[in-house]
Amino acid sequence: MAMSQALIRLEDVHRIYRLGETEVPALRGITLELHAGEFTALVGPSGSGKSTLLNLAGCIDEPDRGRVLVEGVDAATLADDARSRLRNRKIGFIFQSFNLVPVLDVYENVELPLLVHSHLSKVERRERVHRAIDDVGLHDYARHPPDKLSGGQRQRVAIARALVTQPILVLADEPTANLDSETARRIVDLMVELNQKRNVTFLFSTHDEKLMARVGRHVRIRDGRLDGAASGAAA
Amino acid sequence: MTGGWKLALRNLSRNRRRNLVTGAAIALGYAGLVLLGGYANGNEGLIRLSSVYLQHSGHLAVYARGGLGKAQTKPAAYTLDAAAQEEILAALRADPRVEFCGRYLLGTGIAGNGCKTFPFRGLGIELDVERRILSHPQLEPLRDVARPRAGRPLPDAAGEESPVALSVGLGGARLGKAAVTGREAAVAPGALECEAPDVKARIAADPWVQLAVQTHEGSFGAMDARLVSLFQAGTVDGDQAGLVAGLDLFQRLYDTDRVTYVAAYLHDHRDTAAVARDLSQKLAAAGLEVSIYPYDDPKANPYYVGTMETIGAVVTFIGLLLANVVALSVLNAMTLAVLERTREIGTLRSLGFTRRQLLGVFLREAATLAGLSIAAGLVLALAVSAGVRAAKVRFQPPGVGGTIPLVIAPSAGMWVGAAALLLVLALGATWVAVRRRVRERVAKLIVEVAA
Repeated sequence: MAMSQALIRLEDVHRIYRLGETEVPALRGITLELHAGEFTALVGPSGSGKSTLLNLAGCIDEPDRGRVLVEGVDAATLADDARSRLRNRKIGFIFQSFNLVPVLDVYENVELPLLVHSHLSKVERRERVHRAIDDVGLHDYARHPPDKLSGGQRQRVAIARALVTQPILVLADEPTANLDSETARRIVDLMVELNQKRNVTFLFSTHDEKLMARVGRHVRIRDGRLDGAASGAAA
Repeated sequence: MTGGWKLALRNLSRNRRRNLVTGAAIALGYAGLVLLGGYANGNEGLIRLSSVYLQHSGHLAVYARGGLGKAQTKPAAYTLDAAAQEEILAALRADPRVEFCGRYLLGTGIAGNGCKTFPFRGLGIELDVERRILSHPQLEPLRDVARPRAGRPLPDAAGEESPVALSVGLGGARLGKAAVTGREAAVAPGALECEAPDVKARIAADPWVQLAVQTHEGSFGAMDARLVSLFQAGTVDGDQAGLVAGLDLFQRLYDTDRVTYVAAYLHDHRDTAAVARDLSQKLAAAGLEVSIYPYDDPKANPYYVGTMETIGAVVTFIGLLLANVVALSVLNAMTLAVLERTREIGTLRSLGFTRRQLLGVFLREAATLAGLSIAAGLVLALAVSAGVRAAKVRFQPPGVGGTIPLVIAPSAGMWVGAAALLLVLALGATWVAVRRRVRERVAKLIVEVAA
């Protein structure tokens, strides 16, 4: 695969959690690049450092050592407000437990990232939100509150929310872990479709072997170290 | 950021019971502060009226320089002579802010009933001025207090021979004139057999008292005066030794044409400082050496100032308690809200909300809750004050001979000030509760389990 400039580059990244007197190394010198259009699965057992790696790639955590470069910019050099802007414009997040705002309906949840740092007009904002909701097949549920939706539908809302800002990268932390296998398959289908049709770059963590079979690139992690990255074209 | 208010409003619907309780605390706190302030304000009005009119301090009082402290011991040197009185009265009458003015002569001496004598502290007043005061429309709430405890108002006896009013302690308990109402048939003054068994009854039936003083020139002055009423002064000293007589009678007694001070009664008490300033300049230009004391001067009017300081201290203390209850309620509610929404805070941060924007969402939430609650408190306070007005509640404060109305009269400043105070407290408490949370690492917030 011809390598363009990396969207995200992690260079010799270390992350240590401190629990009182005890230090727990979560990542031990990870170097990883993600390129536009890739569909990458981060695979490893529980406690291997998948979530920590995603957090660092998404600039919601900082490494104790090493650098995280987003389109060539070292995230550590950015002030907190600038990092917030960067997350808002360039990175979408999908969480295992959906993390929707319960007092907002589907439309409002999806609209949420556009309410900050956005110079879009109201009309443009509405168009973006409707397109994102249509993309995940929830057109008829736009005014439903999250608690009236199934788990799969909620995750679709979360995907729409992650996509609405048209980010360069979508990070998903075990997006199918809380779903039954059929719903999980459909969510992965949707992510694959978005990757292929809209060229959305995905990095998601999973330990579901069935899902891994549908992913173009696997990055295996164990005890905070990469086992070796299997590169491949987007699925 | 757009949509912040909508998000804040929606968040208020999350834990309705808790928000209702917090809102009720704010509403009750607001109503309490306003009613408390209104009570203090209403009392201030009554105490000012009592002090200015019933205790004859006027809105401002003009003394000869040093006269406030020394007129009683060196009256010849520290009282106002006739020329000074004319100058002062002319200046006051030329000022349209002055409604009327009166001259007063303070003096001490002894009063006797033929067998016993007791010291008195007396005030000579102009009876036509006193009549005007007693019929003043502003004194309507204090009409019961202004009424003599027995007998007739002194001005009603203006045409009679040597009328005098005594405090209930001096005239009644000490001189034994309790039975005198001013309507009994007068008994000519004469020597009493003080050891006679009916002496008490004779004294009680005799409206005449004997007054003896040292005149301003230092000689002995004495006269018989006819008791027409007994009044309650409201202070221990005043009730034990108070005496009020017409200025003419008092000046005859002290053999002088001087007065201790001239009091000015204004149309609007808020003009007091300005009138005092202008008068001071005018009298200084005329070469008069005088001191002018407004009604709220602690030296000239310790009753007013002391009472207001006491009320102010009580109101401040209770107000602080109320404000603390409100602040702690909001702090508690917001701390719980933040704990419950920790993961959501992390999610919003990951979506790009800055710390300030998130803090803004919570502050909007607190402002909305405080605003709605203050509106409810406003309605409650209006209803209570209207209810009190309609019920025409009256009560008798300690030491006061008569009832006064319960007045709750919050000023516009109190409505606005209490609202501003509670809003600031609510926002401050929210800031304290939220500030640390939004500064934590986003990754840590996201994995936090909701409380």
